[in-house]
Amino acid sequence: MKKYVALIAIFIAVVFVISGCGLKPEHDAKKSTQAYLTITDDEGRKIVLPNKPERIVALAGSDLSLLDAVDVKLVGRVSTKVGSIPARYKDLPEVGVATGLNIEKVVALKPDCVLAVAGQHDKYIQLLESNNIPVIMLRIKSFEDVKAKLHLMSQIAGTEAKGDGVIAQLDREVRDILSKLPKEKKTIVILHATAKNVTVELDSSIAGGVAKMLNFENVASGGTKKLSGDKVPYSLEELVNLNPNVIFLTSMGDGQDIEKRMKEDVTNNPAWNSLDAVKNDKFYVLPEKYFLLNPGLNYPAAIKYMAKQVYPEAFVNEK
Amino acid sequence: MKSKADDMVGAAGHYGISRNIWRGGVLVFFAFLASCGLFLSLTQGTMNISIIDIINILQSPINSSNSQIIWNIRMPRTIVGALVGVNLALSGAILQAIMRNPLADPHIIGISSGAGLAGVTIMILFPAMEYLITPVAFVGAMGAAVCIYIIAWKNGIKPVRVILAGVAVSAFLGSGISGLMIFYSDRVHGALLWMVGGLAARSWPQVTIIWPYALVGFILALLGAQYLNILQLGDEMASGLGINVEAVRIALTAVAALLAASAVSVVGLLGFVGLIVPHAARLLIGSDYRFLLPASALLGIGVVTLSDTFARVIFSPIELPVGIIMAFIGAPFFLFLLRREL
Repeated sequence: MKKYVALIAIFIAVVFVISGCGLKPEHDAKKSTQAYLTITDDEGRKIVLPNKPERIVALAGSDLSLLDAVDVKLVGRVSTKVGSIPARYKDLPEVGVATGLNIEKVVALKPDCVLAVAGQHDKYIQLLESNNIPVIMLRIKSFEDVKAKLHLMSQIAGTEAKGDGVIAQLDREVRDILSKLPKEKKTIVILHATAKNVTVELDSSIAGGVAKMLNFENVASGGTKKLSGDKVPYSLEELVNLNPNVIFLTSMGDGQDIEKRMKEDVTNNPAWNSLDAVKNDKFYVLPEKYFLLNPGLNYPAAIKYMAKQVYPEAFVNEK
Repeated sequence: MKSKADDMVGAAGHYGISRNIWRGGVLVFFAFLASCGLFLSLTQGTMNISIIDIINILQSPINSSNSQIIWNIRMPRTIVGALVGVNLALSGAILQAIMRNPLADPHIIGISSGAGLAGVTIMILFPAMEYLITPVAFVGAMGAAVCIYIIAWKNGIKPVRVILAGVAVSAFLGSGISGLMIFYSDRVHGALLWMVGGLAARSWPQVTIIWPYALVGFILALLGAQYLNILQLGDEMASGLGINVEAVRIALTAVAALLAASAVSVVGLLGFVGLIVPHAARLLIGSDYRFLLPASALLGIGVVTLSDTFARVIFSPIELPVGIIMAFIGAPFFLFLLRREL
């Protein structure tokens, strides 16, 4: 028995020593004169970049186009099949897919800044930090997020002027689209991904956020009970009751074929046909490339796509 | 399994109630539960529609939103739920007899994993072909069942081998499902709902798909009731009574697979009904399959329709998938029954 007590005591002592050691570098970092940049990331963590990062690794595929837009140099990137990879990042070393990173490869690249995905890469934080690699957790969903992250990325890379220009351009494009819309409030609902279930997207989803910018009223988030969040399974009866003017359906996969299929799925189902919007053919499929993952720099295009479905007449003179 | 389950029926005899009256009473009780389920499922929902209005709507369909809700949303959904309940409960009851294992249910013969992998593959990799989910899930379910049977075949079929082969094949196919979900994490949502099983947006087309299987399956199962009774006695006894055990077992497995596959392809991987409904029915009515099969079917209707009504109403207008509710309420209830009776 005494043996065990002794063992446990030693174990606890060792743990204290190790954790104590772990804390030291942080103190040192704070003592050092004038850090290059101090950031609070999307998980509320405070990160100090002592010097301007020269070896950045990006772990989110959707970040690549944003990083490219503000001229950030990378030394490694995530492997991704979604979207096109900017030319300057094509031949960089890859560190695995976002859901299955090869963390050894990340460390081997000796990065001085890692841009990771909030909620997905948390398990790697400790490992990277123990190698003295600063990790910034990013959550990018809404148009506001995109602009904020463009600013942050340009700060990290020291290209603020470029960043401000890109952000101003995005704002201009969006303003231009919004100015063409008639002054009215359409009621809408956004269904997620499949007509085989009834899942509605709320304001904090990508399509929901775009709809809000277009001044559409999402009946699901403002129905009998206020709902918030991303998406929830929803009552079809309640939808019939709320009777939205327009129905959007976000799709998985792109193209005419899938759009036609999804429309048929809905129109052939008597349950869906109880909705006036379906009967009146005010029912539109939203493509994956704009509305499944955050469209990044394509946000204006996504906004325009949704607007154009409902108000095609406002955009007749465009190419 | 048989002797203890039959205690209740036997106990009834001690109190001067004949077995058949007890069984009749239990059947009436289950029928009452089933009608309660059907009634509540039709009358309760997010929209408050009064019973008088519903009766009017049923007599003369008009083109109002309430009428649409009753005719095209609630009624077909109730029917699909009831038929799915029947199919899964019968499938489980049959499998428990022919495998002579109380843990046998449609999962064991690979229905769920086969249908699951096939369905999720379509949903995630070929979303444009979503209309294929029902037939492909059906083929996947039957494919996995056949596969397990072939693997388990070695100079005949031993129930234990079928169950172990089922566990192995299910694990193998399950890894495929997990793999797909990890690599396409952005598309997982629809697939997840399907894996839990739900009745949202099910309407007349789904009724048309499932009712022939339910009808034919029910008739075949009843025809097989006497064989199921004999198979429970063990293979030796059964062949001593002049039964071709292998042939009967394969034929009845096919019936069970058809029943479960048709249900799963329409509502997704609804677990729980096939395992627990036959047990609950057996605890009350005994293991004579001539009574157990209709009892399971009725209880299946009651359990699925009541759970679905609950799932629709509890957080309305948010709708939970019925699979979650069923396991959440049913599992503790089942454990309570087990502790009392076994």
